[in-house]
Amino acid sequence: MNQTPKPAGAAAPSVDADNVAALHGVDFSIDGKVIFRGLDIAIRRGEVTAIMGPSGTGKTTLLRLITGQLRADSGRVLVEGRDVAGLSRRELYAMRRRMGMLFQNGALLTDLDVFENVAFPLREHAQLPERLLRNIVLSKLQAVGLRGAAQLRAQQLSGGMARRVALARAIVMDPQLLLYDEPFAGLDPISMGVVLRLIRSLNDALGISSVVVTHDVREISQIADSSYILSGGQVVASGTPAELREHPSPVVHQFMDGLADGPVSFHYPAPDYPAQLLDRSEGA
Amino acid sequence: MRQSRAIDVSTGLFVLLGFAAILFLVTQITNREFSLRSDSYRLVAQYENVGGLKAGAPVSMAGVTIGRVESIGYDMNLFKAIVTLRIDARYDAIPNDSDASIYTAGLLGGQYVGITPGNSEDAYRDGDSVEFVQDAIVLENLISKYLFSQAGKDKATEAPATQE
Amino acid sequence: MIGLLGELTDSLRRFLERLGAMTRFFGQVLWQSPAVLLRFRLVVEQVYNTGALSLVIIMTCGLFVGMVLGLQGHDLLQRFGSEEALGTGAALSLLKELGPVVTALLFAGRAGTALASELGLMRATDQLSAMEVMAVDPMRRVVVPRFLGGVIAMPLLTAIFIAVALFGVQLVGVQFLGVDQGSFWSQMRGAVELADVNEGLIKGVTFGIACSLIAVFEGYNAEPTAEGVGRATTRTVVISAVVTLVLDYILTALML
Repeated sequence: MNQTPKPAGAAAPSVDADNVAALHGVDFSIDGKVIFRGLDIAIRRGEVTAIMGPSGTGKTTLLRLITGQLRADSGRVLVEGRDVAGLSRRELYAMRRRMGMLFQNGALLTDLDVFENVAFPLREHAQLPERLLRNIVLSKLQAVGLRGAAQLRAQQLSGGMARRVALARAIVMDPQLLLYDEPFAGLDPISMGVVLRLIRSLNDALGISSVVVTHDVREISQIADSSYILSGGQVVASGTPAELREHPSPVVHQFMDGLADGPVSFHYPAPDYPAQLLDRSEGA
Repeated sequence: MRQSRAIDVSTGLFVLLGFAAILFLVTQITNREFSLRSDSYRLVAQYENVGGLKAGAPVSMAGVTIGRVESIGYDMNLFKAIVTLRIDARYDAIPNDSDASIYTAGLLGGQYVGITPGNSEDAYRDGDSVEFVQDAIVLENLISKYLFSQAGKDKATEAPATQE
Repeated sequence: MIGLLGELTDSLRRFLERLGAMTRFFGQVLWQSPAVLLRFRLVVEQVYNTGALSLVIIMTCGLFVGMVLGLQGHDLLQRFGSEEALGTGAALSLLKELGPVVTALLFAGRAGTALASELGLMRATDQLSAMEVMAVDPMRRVVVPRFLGGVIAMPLLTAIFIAVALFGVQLVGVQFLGVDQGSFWSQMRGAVELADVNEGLIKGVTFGIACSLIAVFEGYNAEPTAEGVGRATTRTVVISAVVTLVLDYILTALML
């Protein structure tokens, strides 16, 4: 996996025991529109894995497949070695307790304050004495640097702060796998730096695995261990960030360097330009 | 936590208010006069025509409600309507030659049974039949009575003329 | 012509689809209700949300409906010389029709829209999805408590509306227009039966179930956008109003 970038459609790495999650030959469509075709992805234990690609390639859908909120049409989605599709409701919920997910908007519960938001999973799933719960919540808030903000209401938070609180909530149950959905979208450079640092340090300090779905190439390349680039419902490239930068494919090249024109064309399909202008002047 | 206690109190007040309203409606505006089960006795009366009398209509004496019409049936042998009256046990001294007639309350009102006391020394007992009754006044009969009496009067005034 | 026919069948199909979805949703809500009632705290919060917060509007409107009823009723009855029947007429019309129906419409406007927009917003900002990922069933945590809160609040609001309205009738009829206080109440007592009060309460409960269900359904299934939430709120009011009036006819016919 560390030597040559994989061409699209190649088989997933063999040893699944190393993978906290994996997709094997997954097909998925919504309303007739094909999102994934024969998708193969492996999330290795202990690593930060980036999933990148142009907007609309279904990156969020991928996360939903992993959490079991969506079912694949065919292929297997494995989490901790077990096929998500085969789990009963109770097992599915048990599995989700070992995951944490950071949504694009934070998705904090608006009628609760910061403390209660982070405490939410604990209150729902564990009967903890109030003192213990308080200490856990405060320690998670400390990890994201927001212990002093515990009394603020969810609506009072800026985007960056909301996302950090959501992160604290995602780790409050000490999950094994953390999923990030566009964690950098809409953040100022400072907040972005904070989130970047948190993703990496939490991953290492807590000994967990992280999946970051993003199209902020420059940012994620600083911290990812391995990356996948999706396009057209398939993996077009994978490897370390360094490998991807050297990748021969023009699709990957345009994406990684942010070029305006290339395989993804600048112009929306349109008829011949001079011809259209002439038509107008004739009709006038 | 302070906020949730305030919510609890407000909700409690609201629910209390709601139940108070229900209680008010049930007790203050419905007629709670008669729980006619135990402390009452029955009288039976037969009528040629009960008109618009319905079960549940009041039975009154001198305008005071003393009971209710319990049920109205029809006897195929006697070809009469059998009306059962339930009288509050407090009024146990109704002379047993009193009559029970069907009246109409007001212009648009419903019909009720009015008891006019008689002169007997003895009172009605549970299950007694009322002998003296007056049927409900039916509008059509009134009109035809009036028309026939008019016709009779005309004939009488006409006859001397033709006899000439 | 063909196009119009096609559109009609399309609308019909979509209507049936929605009706089926709502029925299934209702089934799920009922199924989860016993478990949710155990988490009484959540239900209490929602009774507050739908009921206590609607008190002001219900009582204000109740007062004015009663006062108008007093005015109109007095004017009408005066033509027949039966002003003392004002109490009776007002009480019966409020208990059987005006009370439950107007309360339901006000409820749909105030509480129904609140429920729909809350749930719609949760849908749009991924809060419901986040709950699913946190292994918390959003139906149990958020939807069913709101439904139960509405169902409990509605009959209480109806009773309060009617009581306040009667006060309004009395205020106008007795205080302002000089109807005799004694005959006002005694005539009312003479004519109103317990069955009439029951009728009103049964309607209140039924309308409560219908309006709460519609509100949580629309909110939960709103499209996850700002316009979607707005649409869901509008639909809640419109559908609640229509369903309330249809149910009103059915219930009245059944109970008479």
